[in-house]
Amino acid sequence: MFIRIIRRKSAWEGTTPLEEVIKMEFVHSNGTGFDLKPSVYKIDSTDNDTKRSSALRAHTEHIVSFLQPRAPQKGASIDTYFSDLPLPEQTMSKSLFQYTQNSHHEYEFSDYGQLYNFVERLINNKDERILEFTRSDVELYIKEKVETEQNEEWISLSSSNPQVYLWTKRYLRN
Amino acid sequence: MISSTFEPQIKEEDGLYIIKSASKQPTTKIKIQKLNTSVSNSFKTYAVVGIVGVVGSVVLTFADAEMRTTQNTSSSPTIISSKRIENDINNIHKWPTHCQDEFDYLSQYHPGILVALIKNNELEDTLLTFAAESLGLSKNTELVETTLLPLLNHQFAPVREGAIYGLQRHIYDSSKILEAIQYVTLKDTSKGVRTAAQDAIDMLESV
Repeated sequence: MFIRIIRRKSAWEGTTPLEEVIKMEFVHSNGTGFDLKPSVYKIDSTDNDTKRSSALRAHTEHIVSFLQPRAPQKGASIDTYFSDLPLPEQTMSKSLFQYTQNSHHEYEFSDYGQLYNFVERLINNKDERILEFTRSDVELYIKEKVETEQNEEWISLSSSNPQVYLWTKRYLRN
Repeated sequence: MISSTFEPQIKEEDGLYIIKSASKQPTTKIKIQKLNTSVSNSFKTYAVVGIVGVVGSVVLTFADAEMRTTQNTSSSPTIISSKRIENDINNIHKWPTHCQDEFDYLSQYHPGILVALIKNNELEDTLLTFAAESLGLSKNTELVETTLLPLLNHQFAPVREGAIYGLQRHIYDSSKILEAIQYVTLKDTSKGVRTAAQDAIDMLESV
């Protein structure tokens, strides 16, 4: 599957008009219009448990790389994979973590119509596609990496990168 | 006429100073008071004392100044420099339309402008949600509280969710905000809004 971090959970509940979902979830933050190359992370695992844990990994690494510790969690991702659509292309990512650097992909839609059809299909299957992650899920994941596993990448980043340091400091206080 | 080395130009007309925008914005009139006394280095200083019209983001730059002037009525008025006007206008014109990056910028440098955008119904709901989130970046808890708490009753769920994201950064500093978010966890009709509110509470509890 290919997961995309959701900006507004409430936009995916089926009550928001499709055009408005797109205006919130698939636009560039600098005001330059619709994002016809939306980013996703590729999750290779097959069984559901592993899928979820891999998705949590990508979700957490994305949050830690790009959001401040006190920022909103953006607590959900959506599986964007369709077997009959062209696969997204692997592209560069500014993630701090190797896994999300390697798993970063982008779709490429030629116009708004293609994007619209894509989002429409996502919404039609939203219940099976949305993966919710609470703040506790993220917290436990970070604790496990840093405290239990003593994961080399996390330990190294938390000592060298101020952003990761703040995240780990925040959660390891408990 | 006030001399100005930048575009948009500022002209005096009928006792008002008129800002003529270089590109997308229509001409905007504001009322500013010239202060003769304070001429610092290469640019003159003016105090904004009122707004005549509200048209687009340029005038909102001065809404921000006016707001701070109003808040400081017991002391000297807010003074802005022509250089400051130039910088503000250039910065705001960086974005082709209202957008998240603009809101983040405004929240840190001109929170009053962002408040004006939010309160004056200048934004579509799909933008208002991000403006609300960005306002949370402001360090002024009172401003955030008074502007965003009403949005918890907005009819569009993503706006309420955005308001939660903005308010949650101030949850440590305001019991009103905490109580309001607690209420949302129980009563909001949207599951997404309720879980966003619960996450905000969990964040507080994890400290």
